Amino acid sequence: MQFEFTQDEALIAETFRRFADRNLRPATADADREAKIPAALLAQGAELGLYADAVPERAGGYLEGAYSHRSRAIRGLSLGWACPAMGEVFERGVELALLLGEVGGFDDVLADLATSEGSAVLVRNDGRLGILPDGDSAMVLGYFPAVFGAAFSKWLAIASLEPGAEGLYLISLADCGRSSAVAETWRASGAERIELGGTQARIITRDTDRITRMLDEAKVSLAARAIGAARAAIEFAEAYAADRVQFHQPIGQFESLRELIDTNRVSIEAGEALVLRAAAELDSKSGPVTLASMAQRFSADVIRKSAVDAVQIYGGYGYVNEYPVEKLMRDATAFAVRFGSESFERVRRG
Amino acid sequence: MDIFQNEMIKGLTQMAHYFAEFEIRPAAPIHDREETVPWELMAKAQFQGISQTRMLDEVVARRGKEVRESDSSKPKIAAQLQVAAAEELAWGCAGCSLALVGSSLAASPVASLGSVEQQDLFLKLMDGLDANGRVKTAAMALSEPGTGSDISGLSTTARKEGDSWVINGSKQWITNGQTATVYVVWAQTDAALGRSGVRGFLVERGTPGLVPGKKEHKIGIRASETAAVHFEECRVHNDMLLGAARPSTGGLGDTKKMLDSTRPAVGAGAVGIARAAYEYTLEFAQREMLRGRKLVDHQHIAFALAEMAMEIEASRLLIHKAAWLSDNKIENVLNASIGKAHAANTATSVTRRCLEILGDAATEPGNLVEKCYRDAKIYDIFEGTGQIQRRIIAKHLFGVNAV
Ligand SMILES: Cc1cc2nc3c(=O)[nH]c(=O)nc-3n(C[C@H](O)[C@H](O)[C@H](O)COP(=O)(O)OP(=O)(O)OC[C@H]3O[C@@H](n4cnc5c(N)ncnc54)[C@H](O)[C@@H]3O)c2cc1C
Repeated sequence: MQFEFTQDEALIAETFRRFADRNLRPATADADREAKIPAALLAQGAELGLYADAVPERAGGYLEGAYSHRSRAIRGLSLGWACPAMGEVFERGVELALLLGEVGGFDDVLADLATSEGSAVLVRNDGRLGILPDGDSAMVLGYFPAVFGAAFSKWLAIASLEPGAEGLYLISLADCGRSSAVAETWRASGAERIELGGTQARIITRDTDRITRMLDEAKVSLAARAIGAARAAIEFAEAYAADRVQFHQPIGQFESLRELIDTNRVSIEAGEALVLRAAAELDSKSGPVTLASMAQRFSADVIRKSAVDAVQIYGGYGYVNEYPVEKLMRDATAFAVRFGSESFERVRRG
Repeated sequence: MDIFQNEMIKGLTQMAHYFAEFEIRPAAPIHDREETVPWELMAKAQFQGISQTRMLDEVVARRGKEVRESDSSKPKIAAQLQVAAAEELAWGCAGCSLALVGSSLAASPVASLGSVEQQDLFLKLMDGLDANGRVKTAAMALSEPGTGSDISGLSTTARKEGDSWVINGSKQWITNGQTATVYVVWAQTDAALGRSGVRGFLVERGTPGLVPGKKEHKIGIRASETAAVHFEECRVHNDMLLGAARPSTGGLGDTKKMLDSTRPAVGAGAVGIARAAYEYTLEFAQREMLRGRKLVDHQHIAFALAEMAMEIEASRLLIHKAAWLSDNKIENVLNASIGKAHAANTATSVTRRCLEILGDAATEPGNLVEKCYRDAKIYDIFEGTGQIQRRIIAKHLFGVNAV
């Protein structure tokens, strides 16, 4: 695998780092408090090619040839670094667009996916849904307690690998019971509780390998954003520790805090390398991959530890919302539970 | 240690648990969401005898009963009762529980350093309801914007003028800081004396120059009010200086001792949070199915829960030992720090693993475990951070001040 960025990748890295730093960062605290992302930011994201770059040209997007998951991971590092909730919203719809582009048909949906307001959220059936297939459609019964990004989206894609209910189901969010589920984590992402009362779904595929692959793609993107967020937490903590003086010296000079920062930095570098490798694996193979789940699991641990340790380094200031690490600690939660809990995952693999 | 068999401890635990389950739990989510102080709960608690100023009540009670207290045939269990109750209340909600008993942080230095007159004054001020018809609270104002862990670096000063002291400075993150009726504030009286120049003062609400400041928005324990407090040429009478009769012992060293005495109860709160998250997750795992079996029937989940139970039990024993030592008048500084630091670890790691097991259920608005995860973190920060506890432990065990 290649560790250096190609010229294109370097350009993407730079573009999204600038976008994250200049446009997103200044807006994150307000977006968190008000639980919404300003429309202007969503539009700016779309201008950078988010959404449309996974939609084939024939359906109005920009994608010609192969999609690069490595490039996606690279931009994810910056989006997560700026704001996990915004990152989730900006990365919606990619896996679905890639899959629909491959299976053919569904051009109406693809055209939607090329836009922010027409995009889709992807969720996973943890075994709680009742799914009654009927030809190439199905009736779906059950609920999702908090679907991030739903308030900004038009479509709901449900990936199910449960025995007897295997399939990728597509539902119009307009047909669902929806209520705000904004809580503590990823507040700006427009989370909604989604109720499905025998809602009609289109079955896009029943190919479990393809569905697994789709989830793998989503996991790598999620993992990239987790690592970006972890890097942000530790950068904040390091800067704070260099400034804050207790016992007549900057606290960053106490060995225990230095060690805390260093341990996290090592994990972040390892996590970033794993994420980029997992993305390269996606780019080099078409079926299911092995590194994606590992990347998700590892990066979820990394962000949780980094965020909690950053709060610790800030002391009392870390516990209040004046500084950004408080939000990162709340945001860390969602990374661990997106696409079903880690425990479910581990049991499933076992 | 007969703590788990003692009938009084069992009885109080039951009482506190009942209050936590039926009064605190239903009220907690809204106070967490809206960051409001649970005044109605505080009134109920006071009515039911869950005291705001427990430490001081004890001192006063002891004053009248010296003889009976010295009867060695009776077990002394005040500290053990306190930790048993603290665990249950925090099981209900750590923020509400701090709102209920946070005033004892201020009562504690009054109990240990105050004269009989100061103790009586404190109790008198805390009696009845405040101007808004609410239960009265007290605040212990030590930390400052620039000085949290290193309390010898205080910049708040008290200057002697005739028969009064004039206090200037700002305090940060003070529990009950905005609404307290009485404040115990720590200030430097003589910079040349360094740490031993730091003294405590009783300051009544309404004293000119005492200015309650901005309320903080916090990641957790939101039912407990945390605010800045400013002192601007705030003049108090000489009688308000704590420990005036014992100038050699009334300083910062005693402040630290006072933190040692409240530490086991603080640690017990962390155990309560961990237990709340663990019990909720256990029920979830006993109910939810995966691959045709209950979650708890999967080894991965069962062992994770077993591990949590181990940690919770270990923390609880360490804390009860610290309390038992205190009740038996055996120095407990080391054990208090070990217990608190261990319990803080337990609370953060148990709540985190519970979140993992719950999955997206944990992101639902008002989810108990998600709240526990946010509440838990404070135990590694206030009343001495995790690093400061380790510093104390190292110093006691092998006499070093490692940097
Ligand atoms: C909700 C809440 C309620 C509070 N209530 C009160 C109250 O009622 N009264 C009151 O007086 N205070 C109160 N506090 C303040 C609290 O006690 C302090 O926040 C705490 O002591 C830590 O101080 P600090 O925030 O200044 O952190 P700092 O001391 O600046 O510490 C920052 C980081 O540096 C580390 N550190 C510091 N020194 C060392 C060292 N020597 N070696 C290694 N690491 C070190 C710390 O562990 C921490 O990780 C409260 C705080 C909060 C958040």
